[in-house]
Amino acid sequence: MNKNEIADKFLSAAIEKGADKAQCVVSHNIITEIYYEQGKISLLRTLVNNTVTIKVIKDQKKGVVSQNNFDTPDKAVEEALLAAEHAKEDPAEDICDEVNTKTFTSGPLEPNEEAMYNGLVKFINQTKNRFPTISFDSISVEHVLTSHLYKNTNNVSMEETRGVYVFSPMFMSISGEKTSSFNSSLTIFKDPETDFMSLGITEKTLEETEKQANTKTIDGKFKGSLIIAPQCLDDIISTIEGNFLSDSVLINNTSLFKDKLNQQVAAKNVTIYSTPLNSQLASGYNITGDGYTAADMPLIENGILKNFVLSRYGAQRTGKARSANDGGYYVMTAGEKTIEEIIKNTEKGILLTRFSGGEPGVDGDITGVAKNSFLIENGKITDALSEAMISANLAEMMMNISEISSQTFSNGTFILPYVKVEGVTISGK
Amino acid sequence: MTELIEKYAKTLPEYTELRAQTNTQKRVGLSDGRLIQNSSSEQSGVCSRVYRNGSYGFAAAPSVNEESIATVLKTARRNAEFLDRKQNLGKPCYPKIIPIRAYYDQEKTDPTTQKYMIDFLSEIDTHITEKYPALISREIISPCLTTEKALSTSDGVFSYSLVPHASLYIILTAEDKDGVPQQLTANLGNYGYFSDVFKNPSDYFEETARLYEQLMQKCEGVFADAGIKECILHPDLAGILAHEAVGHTTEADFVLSGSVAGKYLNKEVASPLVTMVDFASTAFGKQCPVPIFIDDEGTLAKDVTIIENGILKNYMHSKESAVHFGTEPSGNARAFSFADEPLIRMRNTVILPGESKLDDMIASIDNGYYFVKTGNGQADSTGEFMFGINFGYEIKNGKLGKAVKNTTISGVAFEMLKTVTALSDDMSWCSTGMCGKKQPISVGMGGPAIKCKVNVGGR
Repeated sequence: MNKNEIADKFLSAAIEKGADKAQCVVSHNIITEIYYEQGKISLLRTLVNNTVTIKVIKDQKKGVVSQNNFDTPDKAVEEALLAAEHAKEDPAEDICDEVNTKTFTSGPLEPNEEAMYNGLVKFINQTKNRFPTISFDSISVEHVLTSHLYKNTNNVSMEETRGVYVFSPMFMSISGEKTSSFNSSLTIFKDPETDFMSLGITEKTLEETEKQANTKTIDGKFKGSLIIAPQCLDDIISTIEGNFLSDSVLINNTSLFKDKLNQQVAAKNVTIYSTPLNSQLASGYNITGDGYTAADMPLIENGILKNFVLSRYGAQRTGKARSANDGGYYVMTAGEKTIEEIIKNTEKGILLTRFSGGEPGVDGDITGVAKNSFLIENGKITDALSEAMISANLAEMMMNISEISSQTFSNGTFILPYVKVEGVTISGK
Repeated sequence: MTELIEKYAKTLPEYTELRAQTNTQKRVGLSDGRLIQNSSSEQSGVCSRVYRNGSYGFAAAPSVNEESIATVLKTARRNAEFLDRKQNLGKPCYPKIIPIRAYYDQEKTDPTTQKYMIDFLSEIDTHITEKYPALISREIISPCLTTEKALSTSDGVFSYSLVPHASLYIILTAEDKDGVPQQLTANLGNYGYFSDVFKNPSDYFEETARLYEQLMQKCEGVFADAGIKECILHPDLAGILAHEAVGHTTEADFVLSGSVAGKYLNKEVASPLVTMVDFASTAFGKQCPVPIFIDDEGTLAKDVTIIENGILKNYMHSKESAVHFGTEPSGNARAFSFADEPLIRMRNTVILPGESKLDDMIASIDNGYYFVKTGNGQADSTGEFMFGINFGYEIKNGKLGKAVKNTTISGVAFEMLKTVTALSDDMSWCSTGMCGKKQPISVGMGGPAIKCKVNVGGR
């Protein structure tokens, strides 16, 4: 499949049929998955898919059509132009103008099914021996090949091909009549011969889950400390990016951080980067969704907001600068104390390893259940918890980060420490 | 699509499924009057799943033609052989069923143009702008999905279905007295093409007025008080309770993985007032929001009574789980796209209405909450669930009090259901649900207002 030829066909059709400008993204993906569920390796799956997305702009009006049929460029372009004809004029609509021709290739491009299968069998046996109360809901081992070409009528041509492996077990602990909550870990990696047990936080999560079949509930309500584990912190930073820094909330003027660029939005010890080019991570990207060369960038440096996460369109609409990347792939600068020391310094609180909560509103308020988490009392982890609720505000939480662990953990998409947040409302029955 | 797939119905070897599927999506979105989304997409392809001695091989490829069919049949067989060779599970094939040929379709061509959708949304947007100038932001978004499937199986089953579904979300944002943005969303939608479901923009002005009034109340609202509270859950929440808190724990694959429901079959799990059903295609004499006539394993879909008068009666099954439990498959094996294998999924999950009046239920609470709108929800193997609450009211001395801001409620499903003391005699459907178990999929859910005790998150 020649992605360049396909893109050229769609772009030529767009110009011939009257578009002022057009961009085309041609994608080719192959997923090979071995899947374990209901006590056996149940499925080997091979998925091939292609997609072409054509965006046309005519008289500053946009129309977009996406399909996985490469044979009908005329029809796709006609539909896109028809959609544009009925659209509203938007001066912010445009296509990438950074003229470049670049190709990026990384990772293993072919699946090693034997290694995937053998690694999975070994992992299941290791778990049976070392963590006998663990029961798997499912385990997925995937090889994912993604290849996409961004091309437009400004002579921009950017292509990226990436192969990675993804390991994601989902499990619980069953001890007699007691059952823990579901827990999971996801790791993206490059070498299928790696011992799966050693991937990311897999072993640590299994070990913690074994302790969670027998739980305790909290009586009443108190203000305490929240020590957030790296995998949970990744979700929280991602939510902060979506709620306070991204296109939609800045365009709609609903972000609490809309006027906070270069101002303090977090405690002074907080530095967070978005690093899609980070060579220490198995995953990432070199091209932004709108066709620009991506670069790493700071989001928050020493508590100061340094960048929003704005696309070209978002930047045009808000009058702010286009950001260097599309976000994600967070790295947070480590602190000085170990997690063990941080726990030792905690009078009362929760070690939060998973959060199940309502999507926070634009006001940043979050409430939810502390899943797979532990109670900390007088400097020690005492009990696994159930039915413990947390209530806080994301913006306030960032300002109330008191300590950051010296150890960091990575799952191939982030490198993050534990952080401790003060003054969070914790309630039980 | 149909002719190409049907001709394989009598020739597929061993246990094989062959499915062609096209998912067509349209999406239009306005943000403060600007058209931010104006797109359509079509994902079409063919897939095959082969069962050999307890192992499945699956393969999917884009485009539907003889060549792609030959490729996926060959690859699926090769994948099943790979696992069979490695594992040698020696499990028997599924019991043979009587061949059927079934068509479930309506007009194939979507009459809705992108212009119709843009004009429709623009008219509602203009109405909001003129009527409610205090808002700081407004968004109106419509995603529509039409799923067309043709399935042949080695049992001689052939089925064709075409299921269109249209949704409309109206999102309003205003600032409270402290300048903090508050937001509410109206979720509307139903089975059908957009122009069939949404005929006149003015039909939705009343819903918009109600949403605005609630948003203004929320701006003046208070934070909920944390702890176990006596509450009324609006009918819109009953559906998500049925789906998230109970439904998932009774999917047979979750049961086999260790779900807490595994030890409760034929035991009391709820108040005797509670009966819960996963409807396949028709409920209360009408077609359900997400009608499933035949599932993606070729099983005719039938209703599953999950809880009857408080007793857990049944799980939902695929062919494989039905063999394990020694029962019949229920038609719950569903796949989202051509690239997905069937998984056990709910269809239209409902807590049946009771006999109480909502006003009487509210009047019976001295100090509690009436929770009206929910955002998302999650549950897990223990039956512990949580729902985000976007809007509700305090109940003080039997009367509605101040509005409450965003909060979360949680509980353990089979404990919480035992606290149910009243169900209202009416019910509502949520027709815009998407469930995210490995693959996204449309689901219907519904129920009456429920009086119960839940754990409320708050400050």
